[in-house]
Amino acid sequence: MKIAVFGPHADKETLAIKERLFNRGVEAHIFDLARFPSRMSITFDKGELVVDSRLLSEFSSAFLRGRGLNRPSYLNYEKPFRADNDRQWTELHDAYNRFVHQETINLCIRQSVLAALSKIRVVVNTVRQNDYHRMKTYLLHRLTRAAASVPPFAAGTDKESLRAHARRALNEAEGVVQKPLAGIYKTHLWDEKMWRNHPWNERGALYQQYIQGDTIRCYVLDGEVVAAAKIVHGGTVDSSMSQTGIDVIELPEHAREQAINTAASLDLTFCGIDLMNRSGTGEYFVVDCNMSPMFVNFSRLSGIDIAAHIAEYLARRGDNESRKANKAVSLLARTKELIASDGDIREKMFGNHRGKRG
Amino acid sequence: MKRMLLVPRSAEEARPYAAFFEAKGYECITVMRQSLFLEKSLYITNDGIHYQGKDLSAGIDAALVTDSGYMWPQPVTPLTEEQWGGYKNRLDEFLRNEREASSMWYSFLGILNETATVCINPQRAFEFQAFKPWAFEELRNAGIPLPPIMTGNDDVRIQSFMENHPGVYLKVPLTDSDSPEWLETHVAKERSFADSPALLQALTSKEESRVLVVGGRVVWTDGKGSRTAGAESKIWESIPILQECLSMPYAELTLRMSDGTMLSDFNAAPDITRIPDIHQRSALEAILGILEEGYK
Repeated sequence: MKIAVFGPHADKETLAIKERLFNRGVEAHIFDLARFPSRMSITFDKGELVVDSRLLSEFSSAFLRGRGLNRPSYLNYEKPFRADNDRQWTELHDAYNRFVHQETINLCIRQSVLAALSKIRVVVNTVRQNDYHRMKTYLLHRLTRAAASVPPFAAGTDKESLRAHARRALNEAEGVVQKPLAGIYKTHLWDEKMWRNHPWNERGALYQQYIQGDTIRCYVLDGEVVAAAKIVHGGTVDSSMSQTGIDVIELPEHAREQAINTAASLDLTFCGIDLMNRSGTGEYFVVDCNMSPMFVNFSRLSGIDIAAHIAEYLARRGDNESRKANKAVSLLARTKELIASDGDIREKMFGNHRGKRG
Repeated sequence: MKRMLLVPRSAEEARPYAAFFEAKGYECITVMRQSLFLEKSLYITNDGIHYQGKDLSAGIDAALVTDSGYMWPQPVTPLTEEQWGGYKNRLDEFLRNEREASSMWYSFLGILNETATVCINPQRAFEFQAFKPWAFEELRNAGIPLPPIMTGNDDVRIQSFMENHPGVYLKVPLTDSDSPEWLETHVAKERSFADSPALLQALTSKEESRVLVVGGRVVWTDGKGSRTAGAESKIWESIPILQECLSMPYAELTLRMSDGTMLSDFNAAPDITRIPDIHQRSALEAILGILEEGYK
């Protein structure tokens, strides 16, 4: 059995999964799609998908840690787009547009590979699911429709309505935060100055009611919570800005169900979910879900080997795929054998069980 | 009164749709990506979605989307020189704006796909549009007549493909800004694709025709390629399956020749303004038909 891990070679999570698979005696191969096309070949040819000289149909399952998006802030993937003067900056414009154009083509093929693979093999998680991480408004909408406890949010370009929403949250609730619409950036407590300085002509905003309490990070895999911990931090609204450690916890039943339902509502096999546990009430709220979360540091601090859980899942699903494939091959071979041979085919298929007609 | 949301690429494109559907009793609301941030009128909450002061969560009976595409990579549109100049050494700021603007737009489209009673074309169609190599694999699996296709950057395999399929080669565009590129055999064989991956089709002539299809029916052809009109062509029977396979009830197809008439390309965002008025009406009637049937 072989399992594919799509992600950068230097990525801790990618390496951890490969290592755990190796420990289980499973052959794992890392595909860093960011290397395509300059350092990797890909071909689609009559249903045969060959990546890095390997036939993808030979892999029994796959983990998608990264799809190989190269940031346009790097020219030739290495140097930053910076200039000492206007003339140099103007010269970079053409290079930038060429980069984006080529990367559109590259990404089309990389993502086609992943989409095609998802049709024939279990891929954790698919490209489409990974997109949710960059569509936070849509994510919160889906979770709300799935009846998850989502703190009231407002997003859009209507700055006056958004300001009114924020002022209501300030008056009626514990406060309001501004969150990044597409991940990466940090969450901050909202204030009027933030609203006034926001580039409304360029992008929208996402506000959400602030829940005072503990930040809980949990991981859901195959319908089960495999790890949960309170984030120990310095009191910033965004715990990642001042995290100092974690305290492993056992989620109460209702919180565990919330987490599992969150993953299920998004059809996610694996995800990291951020919950807020409101102080003094026992209520839990879902504030974020990450389809390709980091987990190595969490594992190191908690002692819970998340990579091993993932490897076990991939190997188990991969084993099922291999059995199905072997059964299909075996059935085909047997059928050919029967057709090629003389004699009573029924007897060959059913042995001596005569009298079972009809 | 039924409510329709139009998501066109331009005001000019919206006009024939708006005129037709308003005459049929629809209230048409037009949402354009370019003006989303200038108008500042999109507002989405737990409870619903508002645009230009209208509560869209009260019901959208139909949505007609031609401006979608796919959200990666940023930016969605290339920068002009003037725009580029304004971001000197502040590219990360531009990228953040683009990333979050894309997020807002695609979140809106995602919600629209789920809340509108009928959405043509659904987001899935645009994913196939963005990932053509995958789309062609799906079409092949569905038995749609296709020319021989090779996608990738492995020069050895591409050379082998050309040797097995002599003819002319078409480099099918993989971005909205590219056009099809014909490669004569001797040119194609000497070219390296190692750093410029491509989707290549082996064809027997450069003859082509365009066909507008709605709900499994042909509503317009450009009249070119006389052989494509033959009833014996399997492609015509395959159109309903093709559209279902790509989740694309409204599509423009390009047919080309390779041992018969084959599907060579498809477009999830047909430009209705490019077809004669008389045929526009047929197309619009057909779209109305599938909207009223409740295609989803």
